[in-house]
Order: sequence, then C-alpha cells, then structure tokens
Amino acid sequence: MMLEVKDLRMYFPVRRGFLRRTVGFVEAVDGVSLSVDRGQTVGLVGESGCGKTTVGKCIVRLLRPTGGSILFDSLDIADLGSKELKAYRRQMQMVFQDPFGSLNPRMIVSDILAEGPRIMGEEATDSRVGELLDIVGLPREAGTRYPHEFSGGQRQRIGIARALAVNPSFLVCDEPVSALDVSIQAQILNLLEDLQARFSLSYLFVAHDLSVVRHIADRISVMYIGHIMEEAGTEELFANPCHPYTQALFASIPSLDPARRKGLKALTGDPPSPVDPSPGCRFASRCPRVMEKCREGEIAYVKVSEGHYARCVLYY
Amino acid sequence: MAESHLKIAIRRIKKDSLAIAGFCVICAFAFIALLDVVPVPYRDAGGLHFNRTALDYLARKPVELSYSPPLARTGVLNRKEFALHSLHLLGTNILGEDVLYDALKGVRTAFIIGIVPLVIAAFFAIVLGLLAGYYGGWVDDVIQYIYQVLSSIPGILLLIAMLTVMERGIWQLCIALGVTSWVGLCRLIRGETLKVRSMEYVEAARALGASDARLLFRQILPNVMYLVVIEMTLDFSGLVMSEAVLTYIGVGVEPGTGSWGRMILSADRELPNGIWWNLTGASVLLFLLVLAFNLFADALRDALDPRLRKG
Amino acid sequence: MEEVLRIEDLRTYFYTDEGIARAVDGVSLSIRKKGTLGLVGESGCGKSITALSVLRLVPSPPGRIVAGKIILAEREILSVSENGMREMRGRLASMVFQEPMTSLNPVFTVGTQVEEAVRIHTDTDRTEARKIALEYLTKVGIPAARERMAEYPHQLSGGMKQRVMIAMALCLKPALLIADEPTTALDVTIQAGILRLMKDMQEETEAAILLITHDLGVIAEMADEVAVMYAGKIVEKGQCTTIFAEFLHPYTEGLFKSLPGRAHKGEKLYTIPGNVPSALQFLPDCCRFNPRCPLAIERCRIEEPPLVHVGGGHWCACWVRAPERGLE
Repeated sequence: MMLEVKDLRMYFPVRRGFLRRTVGFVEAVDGVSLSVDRGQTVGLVGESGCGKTTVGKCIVRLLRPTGGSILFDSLDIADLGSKELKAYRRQMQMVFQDPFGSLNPRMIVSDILAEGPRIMGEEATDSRVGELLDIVGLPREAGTRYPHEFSGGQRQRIGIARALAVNPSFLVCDEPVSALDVSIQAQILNLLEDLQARFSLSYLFVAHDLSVVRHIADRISVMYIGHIMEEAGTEELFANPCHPYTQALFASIPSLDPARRKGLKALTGDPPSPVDPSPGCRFASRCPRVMEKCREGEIAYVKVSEGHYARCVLYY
Repeated sequence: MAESHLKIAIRRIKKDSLAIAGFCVICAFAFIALLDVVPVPYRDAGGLHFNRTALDYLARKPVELSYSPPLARTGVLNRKEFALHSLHLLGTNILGEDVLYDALKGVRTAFIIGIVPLVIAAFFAIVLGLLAGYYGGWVDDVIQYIYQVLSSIPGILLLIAMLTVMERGIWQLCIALGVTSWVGLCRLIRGETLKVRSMEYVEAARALGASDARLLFRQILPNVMYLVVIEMTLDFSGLVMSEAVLTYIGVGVEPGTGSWGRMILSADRELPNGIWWNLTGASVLLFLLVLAFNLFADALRDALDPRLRKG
Repeated sequence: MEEVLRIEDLRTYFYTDEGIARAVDGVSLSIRKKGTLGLVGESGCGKSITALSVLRLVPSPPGRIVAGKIILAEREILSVSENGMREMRGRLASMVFQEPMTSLNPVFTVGTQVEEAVRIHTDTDRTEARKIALEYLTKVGIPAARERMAEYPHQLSGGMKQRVMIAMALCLKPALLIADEPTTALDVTIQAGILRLMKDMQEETEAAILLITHDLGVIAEMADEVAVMYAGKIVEKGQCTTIFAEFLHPYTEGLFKSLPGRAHKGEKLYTIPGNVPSALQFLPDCCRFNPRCPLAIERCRIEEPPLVHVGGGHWCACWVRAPERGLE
C-alpha cells in the first residue's frame, strides 16, 4: 500500500471578535479513511463543500491536519514539521483544477517547470524542461512562453508537467478536468492514464463528475459533508450503490439517451452546514429513508460485501 | 517572441496618442534633467575649480543687474533703466538671472523629488504590505496599527516636524516625503497580496516545498509589482507639486538648488509690481510636466491592469 | 405551432486590437412555442454570443451585430430602437445566466429584485408587484418564500439563487426563456431540481426555451431539438432523438465519442485532435473543422459546406457526410 489515510480530521476554527476568539469549528473533514495501492487510481467524489479538496490538500500537506494519520510508505506525515516534510514533498504532488489560476502569469513556462527541481536543490537543465514538455505533449518552444498564451487544456498539461518535474510517485488530481471542454477533457484523461502506466504513478482522483471518475478510477469513495458515505470498487459501486446519498447522486445524473429520459429526481432541502454539525448521520435531513436511529450518535462504517462499505444504519 | 506583459502593455499604450505625447514630453524633461547632472567643470583664469553641469554650460546667461521682462532690451533697477547684455526669452528675476535658466534648473529637482521619495516609500510599502498580507494574524495587526497611526497624523505637520529636525536639503526632503507617504501603497499591496496568496499557483509552489521567503519573492511579489509602477507614476505629479508648496511654506529645498517652488514663492512680491514672468516660467513648466505624467500614467494604469487583459 | 424565435443568418463580430473576431458567423435557427432548443458546443463556439444577440446585449463596442434577422414573437429585433428593446427584454424574452453568484445584486433583498423586475416592465404598484414576486418565488420552489424574500443573495445557496433568477426571468411570462449554462455551476443533485423546475415552468407558462450548454446529458434530458455549434457556425441540427442516435457531422461524432461514459475502463477515450480555434483565427472559405477532422477531403479545405437537409428535419454541414441536397 502506498498511501493509507486513517481517520483524517481537518477542522477550521471560526473566529469572531477583536481577540479572535474561537467560537466554533468547521468540520470540513471528519474522520476520513481511505487507501491507495501502488499503481492504483482511487476516486474521491462528492459535491461542492463535501471536503474532498480538503482531503487532497491534507495529503500533500498543504494543510496540517487537525487529527488522524496519513501513512505514506508507512511513515506518518500528518504531523511532520516542514523540515522533515521536504524529503517527502517530492514524492507526492498535486494537479490543480483551475487552468487559469494554477500557473503564475508572470513566469515563463520553463521557469514554472524548473521551480520544483530548484526548490529541491537541483539543476533544472533545458533538456530536462524539454523532456517534461515532450512527456505531456507540448512543443519545446512552449518553454519560452507565458501561460496566457496557451489554451485551458494546454495549461493543464503544463500543470501536470510541473507536478512531474520532481519525479513523484503519487499524485492528487484535484478536479483536473472539470474546467475543460469535453473534447479536451478526453485528451487530458488519456494523458493521465498514459503517465500512470509509464511512470507507475498512483492517483487520488478528486472529482464531482461521476462519469469521469468511473472511467479512470479503480475504487471510488463517496463523500458528503466531511464523511465518507460509501466506498467500493468502481463497477461494484455503479452496479450496486447502497447508500441513499450515492443512490441520489446516481439518480441525478442525466442519461445520454433522450428516448429514455429519467425525469431526474431531485433531493429536497439544503445540505446542512459543516459548522458544529448536529450528531448522527449528516445526510439525515435529506435522506428519503431516514429513521430515528439516524440522528443518534455516530454512524458506523459497515461492510456490505467484499470490498464494499457504507456508513448507513440500513446496513447494520 | 513571447508576449510578455510588458510587451502587451506597450502595445496598448501605443494606441493612445495622448499618452505617447505625454511620454515624449516626459522624455524631453528627463533629458533636461540629465543635462543638469552631467558635470562639465572648468577652471577659471585664477586656477579655481568650478563645478558646472552641462545645462549650466548650455543655458546659463551672464547675470544682469535686476528684473527685465521677456525678450526686452532693457531692464529696470530702482526705477532706472539699464541695458541688457543678452536676450532673455523669459526675462530675468530680481538677481538678474535668466528666468528660463532658473526654470530649467528646477527640472532636475522636480525629478528627484518626484522619484526618490517613491523609491523610499516603495521599499517600506512592499516589505510591510507583503508581510501583512501574507502572514495575517498579529503581524497584520501590528502593521495595520502602525500605518493607521501614521495616516492619522496630518501629513503636512509630520513633514514640517521632520524637516525642522533635519537640515534643509533636497535629500532630507526626499527622505521625509518617502517616510510619510508609504501608507497608501502599503494598503494596496497588502490587499493584492491577500488575493494572490490564495491563488493555486502559490499553493502549487508550496506543495513543491517552497519556503515562505521564496513564495513571497518569486511568486507573490512579481504579481503585485504592477501596483507599485502605477502608484509611482500617479504620485510623481503630487510630489513635484508638493515641493512647490513646501518651499512656499519654508521647508523646501536649500537655497541655491533649482526650485519651481521658490520661483512661485517670489510671485508674492513680484505680481503687485507687474512682474509676471518669474511665476509664469515656473508654473508653465510645472503644469506641462505634471500634465504629461498624468496622461501617461492613466494609459499605463489601464495597460497594466490585469483585469483588462484578455483570456 | 407558431414560431417564437427565428434567427436568420446572424453574424455578430467583435472588433478588437488584435483583429476581427467572427464570434457568430451565419447562424440560423428557430424555436416554436413550448419547444426547447438545445444549443450545444464547447467554449468559444459562439453559443453565448448568439443568445446575447437575441436580446441585443452584446457588449458594443467591441461587438456588433453586422448582419442577419432576428424575429422574436413576430417582431424584428434588429430594427427596434434601444428604448423599444428595453421594453422587450424581460417581457418578450428573458435570460438566466450561468453564475447565480454574480447575477444577483448583493445589496438588494431577493424580494426587491424580483419586484423590480416586475415594476420595470408593467404598470403595477408596489403591493401588486410584491404579490407577483411572492407568487413566483413560491412557484420556483423556494420554501417559506415570504420569509426568504427579505433575505439577501449571500444568504441563499447556489441552487436557491438560480431559482430566484428563474423566478425573475419568468415573472413577466415571456415568450422565450434563454438559459445560458444555467446549471453548470451547480452540483448535480441541485442541477436535477433546476432542470425539472424549468420543465415544469415551461408547461405552465408555455414559454419556449433556448438552452445553451456544453453538457450533452442536460440536452438529452431537456431538449426537443438540438443545434451543434462550432467556430461560429451551426454544423448540425435536428430532433434531439435523431441527433443522439444518428449523428452525422464528424464534430458531433467526436463530442459524443469523447464522453467518458462511452469507453470502457482501460480503453483510451476518443479524442478530437488539436484545439478549438479562437474566434480571431476562423478560416474563411473552408470547413472550419477541417484541420481536426479525420474525414477531411480536399474540398473541405477550399469550400465551406452548406447545411444540407438529410431528412426528417435533420441538417448537417459536411462535404463527406452530407454531400448533396435531399440525400435520402
């Protein structure tokens, strides 16, 4: 196992007043566990605000988790100081979502790509930069240009090259194709798959688009307001979604066949706030199958079948 | 080849003919200021060494006895006329010095006062603005406290206080002006830093292990510098005019240095006597330089504004 | 069935520093009453500008409608004065935009904004306008509408804001609702609710809908007819079921085949090589898709293919797939 996340917690304090007293916590991530094997792609899906991006940021230590452990090759990096972390930085990198905000507009591409190795204390030769551009399918001349001279898809390629520049073994891909057009999306997904095969990379693929995740992920974890609600192998999850939230998600995806319109079922109500949430299942306020038990205490994460788990009273 | 931001800005400015005109005027003035910096020393018959600049060499005229109107043949002293040695385009002042020469000598002063305080102010503003915006928390609180206190003291009083303590002089004036005018730019930089520090490219650099210092100087600073450039071009005219005001109230540059302020100050005594050319010479040049800078600065600001950039 | 909107050979160009961007370059389409036309295409194809052109909201300068006819509820839009246009906006046609975050004014309450929309176009007094606002806010499914009316946009979620936008758009019962990527910024579970709402409101008000999106799934759920746009032109149009089952144009084909759902795991996704050209680079006198088209022949490089009727209301502009008129 390359990466094992156990009971990860990330609480953001809510501060009020002149002295910045902490009046509460936003429980963005509240006890998330998942694992990624070498060469595997694990999808983390959920809607906006569920905390999936926060999980990704904790894993690459852009945030220092409030609790839990992140075992990378058996070493817990959750609590490491920045000095010790430096050695691990090169092994895990992140690909960001926004092609327009993820590249420094004042730096030329070759400098952007060279920044990583330079921080690590290495030479970033022209040939190394050229190699990186080749790997992601960009021409070598791209090195002397500025990000604004490229399209969204090309910028994503640059972002991927930047992540690869330090030879990581693990990538957190945070919605890398959400901001791209469908035809470009396909190019980038193919590129990510090629790179995975070529460099034996492992991915945590964070996304909200289920069809994209279905294509690229081996296993999927479904997140809702800081909790993992269900996890299973990809095909198993699509064939047999157990948690009512997962079922609702699937029911909202438009089909691609106008002759068989689903008449999309909508979820009622608004999602609850992650600030000091009430006890029990976080989906209780919108669940079509909610019961008394759902609002009492912590809901256990139970096994539904081999490799398939759900956090739901229905499967106790 | 690469379309750098500078190239884009230049392309945009080229479209604005007023801005180009302004730029040409600024260049002309800058040339004059440069002439006043290049030394052309000489020794007189007695072997004494005199300092002299190229501008002196080119434009200084022999001193007359006293006032004379522009393009006149004779001047007036104690109600008696006297003949003039040379032609003075803008007349002569009370000391018989050529007004045009005097006004041209003020150009170097104007540029120094317009630029040096800004460099000093920019230093404080950048360092403090970056730190306040990036670290937030108590660092931000302390810095904000400092500049809020500073900005609640009327600027002019602070200046007068500082200048009374220091000797009179152009460099002292620059320091005082610089130290009292960094607050506005600091606020801008702090705001922009707040915005930039949460951009994904900064996070990407952090994920690569960049230290805070590296993030600040390599990632954030280049993206807030445009504010400094804009501010400098905007404040230039204000500073040049403030020299005139400060000299007027008596805390400006030392006597002997070219100063439009001093020329304008003398209008107090001169205008009632019908002597208008001293004031006019200084005012016209001041007006031209300030106008040119404002036209150029407007176009520059639009050209550098990242929001107006396409794509 | 009467036609609510008819666009004939619309051309909207942008005159910029860097040249002329021919954002919409000869677009013709029509929508009938109670019908939904899906205008599909990727970013930069001109679909949003087409929508803005209908309401004459194209930023001008640098944009300008240079040619074409737009007939909205039997009125010729392009020859109407600006004052007349202002009266028509909201009444004959209204628009819902993509970003509910920025479409609502943050300093006014939600109720005030809907009221304002009513009062601008009709002669109603405040009380009456308030009643209509409340009625529509309830209709769009905002719970406790009377209380919510006093709230400010930042107090509402994205989905709620979009519902408010729809209420504002429909409270004057326009003949045409233009929705420009109305659900792109929303989560998929919220999207489902908004799409259903639009369909329900369409039933009730009998409005026609021009739905602009890049999401083929949304089109499949909502549209009766589809028009596919590329580089400022319509390359294929027809009944939704026909297009989805029997697409002809290579670009449409590429769009469908690139969808992640279409490939099995482990298989490469089909990709359309190259990038979408920018509107400044549109090539004249040829098929604009030809540099990226796997089927391109010589003719495609020198002559622009017209939209040809291939049967059953299905049109396609392609020398290879729709070479002759009346092909059966």
